[in-house]
Amino acid sequence: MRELLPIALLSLSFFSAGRLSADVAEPDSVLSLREVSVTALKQPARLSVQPVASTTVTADEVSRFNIVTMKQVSEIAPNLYIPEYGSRMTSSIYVRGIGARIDQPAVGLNVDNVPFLNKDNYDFDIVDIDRIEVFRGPQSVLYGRNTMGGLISIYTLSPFKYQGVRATGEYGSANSAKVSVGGYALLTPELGMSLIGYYTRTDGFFKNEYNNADVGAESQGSVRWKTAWRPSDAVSVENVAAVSVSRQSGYPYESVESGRINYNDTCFYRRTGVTDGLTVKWEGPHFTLSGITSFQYINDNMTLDQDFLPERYFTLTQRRHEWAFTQDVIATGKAGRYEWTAGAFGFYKRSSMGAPVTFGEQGIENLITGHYNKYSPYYPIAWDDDTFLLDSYFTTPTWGAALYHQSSYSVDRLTASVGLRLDYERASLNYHSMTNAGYTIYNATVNPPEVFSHVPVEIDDRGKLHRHDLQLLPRITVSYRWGATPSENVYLSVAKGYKAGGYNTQMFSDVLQQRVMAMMGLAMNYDVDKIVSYRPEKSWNWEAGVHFSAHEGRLRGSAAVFYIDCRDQQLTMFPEGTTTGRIMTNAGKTRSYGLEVAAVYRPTDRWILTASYGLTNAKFREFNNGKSDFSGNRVPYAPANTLFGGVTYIQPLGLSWLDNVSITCSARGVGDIYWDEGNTVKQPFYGLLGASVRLNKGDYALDIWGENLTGTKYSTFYFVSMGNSFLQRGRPRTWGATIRLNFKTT
Amino acid sequence: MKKIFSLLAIFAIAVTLSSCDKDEPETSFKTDFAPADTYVYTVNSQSGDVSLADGCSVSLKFDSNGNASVKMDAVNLGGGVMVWIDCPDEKWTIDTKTGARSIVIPQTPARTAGYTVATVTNLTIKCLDRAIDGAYLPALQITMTVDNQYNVRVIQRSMVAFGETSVTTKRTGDVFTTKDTYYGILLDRINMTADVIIRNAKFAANMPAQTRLTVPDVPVTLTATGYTLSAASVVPIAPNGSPRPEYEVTDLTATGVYGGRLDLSFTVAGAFDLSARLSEDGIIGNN
Repeated sequence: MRELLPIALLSLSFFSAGRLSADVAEPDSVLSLREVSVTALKQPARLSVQPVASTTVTADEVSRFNIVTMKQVSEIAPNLYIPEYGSRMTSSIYVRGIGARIDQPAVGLNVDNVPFLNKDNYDFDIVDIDRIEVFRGPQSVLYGRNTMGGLISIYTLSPFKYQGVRATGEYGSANSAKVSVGGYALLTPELGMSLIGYYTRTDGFFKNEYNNADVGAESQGSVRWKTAWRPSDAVSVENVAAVSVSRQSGYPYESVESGRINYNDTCFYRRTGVTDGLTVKWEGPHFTLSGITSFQYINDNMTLDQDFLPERYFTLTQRRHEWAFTQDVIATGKAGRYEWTAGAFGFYKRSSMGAPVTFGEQGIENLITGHYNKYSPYYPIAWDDDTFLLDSYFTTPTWGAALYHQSSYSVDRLTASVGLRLDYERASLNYHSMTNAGYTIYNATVNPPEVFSHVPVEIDDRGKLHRHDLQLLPRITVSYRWGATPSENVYLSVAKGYKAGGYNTQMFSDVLQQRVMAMMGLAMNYDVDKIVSYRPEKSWNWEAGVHFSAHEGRLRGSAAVFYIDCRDQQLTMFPEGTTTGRIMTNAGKTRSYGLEVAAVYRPTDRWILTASYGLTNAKFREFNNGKSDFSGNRVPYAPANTLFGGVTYIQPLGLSWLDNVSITCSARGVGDIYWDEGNTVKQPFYGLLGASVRLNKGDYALDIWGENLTGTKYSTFYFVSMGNSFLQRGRPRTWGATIRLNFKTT
Repeated sequence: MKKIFSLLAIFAIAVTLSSCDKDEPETSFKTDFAPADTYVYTVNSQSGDVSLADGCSVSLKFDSNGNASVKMDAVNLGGGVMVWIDCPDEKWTIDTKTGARSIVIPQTPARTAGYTVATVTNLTIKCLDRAIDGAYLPALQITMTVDNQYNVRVIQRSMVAFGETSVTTKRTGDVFTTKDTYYGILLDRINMTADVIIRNAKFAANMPAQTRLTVPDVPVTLTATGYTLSAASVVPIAPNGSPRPEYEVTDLTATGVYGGRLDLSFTVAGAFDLSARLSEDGIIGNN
């Protein structure tokens, strides 16, 4: 049976690239270098021995496949989908049918132990990634809020692992360029530092026909300073400080009707982010104590032509300052067959945001006066001005605290583990909305029409909303080691996941617009709390999985089947009618089941074959939005299948100027993806082919690469606004070359 | 093995524990009503006279132990008769049908203007705390009999009626029903007229809701059980004060039974026949 297994897996992949080597490099490199990773702080470092579905992308694979962002891990881990659309602010992550497009994330992100609290800050380029760990399924016990779908942990290279200078230069399609330089040094045997600078720019792949401007153009720069200190054998300290600045013209949304990107008002996204994470670890004789302290700051500005049409309907600006502190204290210990982890976590986050919406001439005419005059022809109105400003200002302080514990006990090959987290969170919203405008009513029953009256439109609404949530998050696992190594095991697990509730401030523009209409006598008043607030989303995840290896470890892989029962699922919807803002609703109940398979096979030193496949069937069990019943329909934006395959062949040459050449081919597949709750529009399954040739000589490497070589046309996002449908197209065929310099000093 | 099962057993408890989350609404319960809030409707069972007098002040107190007090000043029963009621030690319950706080006093003395003592029987007070479209709008209903002669009802000047509205499109015969539309009846005792305020008005399924249409100055006639409204033709008014002749209301009739039902019907724009079965104040629940 074992002999048949690799053959069966090979037959799954028609193209393979050695992107995944899930269990080969990661455990030894982590343990021997005593790097301080949050994963190793809270649970055993070797992922394959843990009763969890996980994927590790190693440094070698990061380099060979040019991974610089979390989004590029999409599909590599089965059932993980991170589409690229909009701007750097949009980081929608879907795992096993669980995901989110706005507000709270369903998948957590840690970078060098810093837990990123805001999904809007997830997408940024990172140079010199050492490894990426993807956990699928709820990680709520150890990592808390917003890890209901899973967790992605990214670790950057440590100066204890590498000393020298690394540099990269890249140029490719759309005038895209990247430059990075990093210096790593051990100042003393106990103290290491690294400093990395990075810059990238691109013209983008699309044009706005209205003004022939580049859409999706971007320039981004960042600096990362890492300090690693080992004052003694028992103490490890690591601090990572990073600053990134991004400037982007965004939102290449194409009208489905016209097939064109054509809008008149400015769209851009600008962000400055600062993070600092301090990790301290003390290894005592009986237990280990660790602390992770982080600070995060975002200053960003999103400005949108919110109708994405060439007419002057309306624009939205969202200017934000947000800062957050987190503190995690972790204790771990082991006594014979018993192991335990306990911890306490707290955070405080405060966001201040100004969000003015400005209606233009067409917006006033079509959405307000035209709408009114249609139903009041005898006493029509005319707006005083050709613009109309609805201004809003929000502050959202949020804080939370949690206690958690996990115990495991092993008897021979059997290990049972139970974990529990008590998580409390309080969120507040202080809002101030205002407008000062007016209109004139005309008496059209006489000829010529006469002025009937002038009506001021004055809004000065202030309010405070609060909500608090208390969650008990358990997890139980049982695993059995059936093989000769700990990486050969089967497991069962059941865990509860949780995504925090909150307030969707983007809906305020709709609230105010409807308020104005209600003042004029049209439309029903919106209840602010009812529209803006949303409850937590909860899920129960049942899972069975296996980790296996064969052929003397040349074949390693994992498989899992799962069932997820989700309550109060948070979904974004565009309400019917002429409003444009999205709303967050708790959609009743959904369920998701499926399977995942991933494997890496290295038949010889020259070949690496990789495959992964994820299948998800995610549907609404109950969802009636008051107008339609979507029960039984697929959950939108979550793909039914993800597929990844790759093959790398390395040919040694032994030439004086060339050591070896390697060729890598890869294929990704995603779909079907339904775009709406009614399942009327979908992106069918599509595949993308990539390839690269690497020429290696000592400290130098030159990659020549291409992506989407078949020029597949596909869409990554779809939405309806004011009755108009829009799509974002995926990237076209692209080419490029990358030079890597690696001057290692030790 | 035993330790494993012990750990799992601990979790049998944890798994059954449920999380909780809640919003924090801010509520207040109005217990004082000014004379300007109310009218006093009286039927003299001996003479058959029906009167509608200016309102009285009502002060209600409720505590968490089920204790209540009632104070009503200058309740005008018509014909120069006025009573003052003071009941400091009563009990309150929740009306299971409507959710209103309810006080029932079988009998109590009341002072008159001439400082004689009247007997009040079957004093029933219902007070419903509610918010409608984000506005706090409590409902109050008080009934009693004084000296076995005056059947008295304290009503709110601005009443709200809820229920089902059916609209028939004359041309096609299509029928649209909704429970979202509700009605305010604002009485003017001096002119004996009422404004009928239609909230969330919709006369067809595909029509956008009108926040508020006011049918002003509809003549009111008092009856032995309540009132009737009747108007041949009225142009409603939008919230911004502009007339809405496209929604002209014709053949408006309404029959309201205090403490019971309100049946309302009219034609809109000559094209839509509307009929509504409502209950006043949402307290009675007799749809």
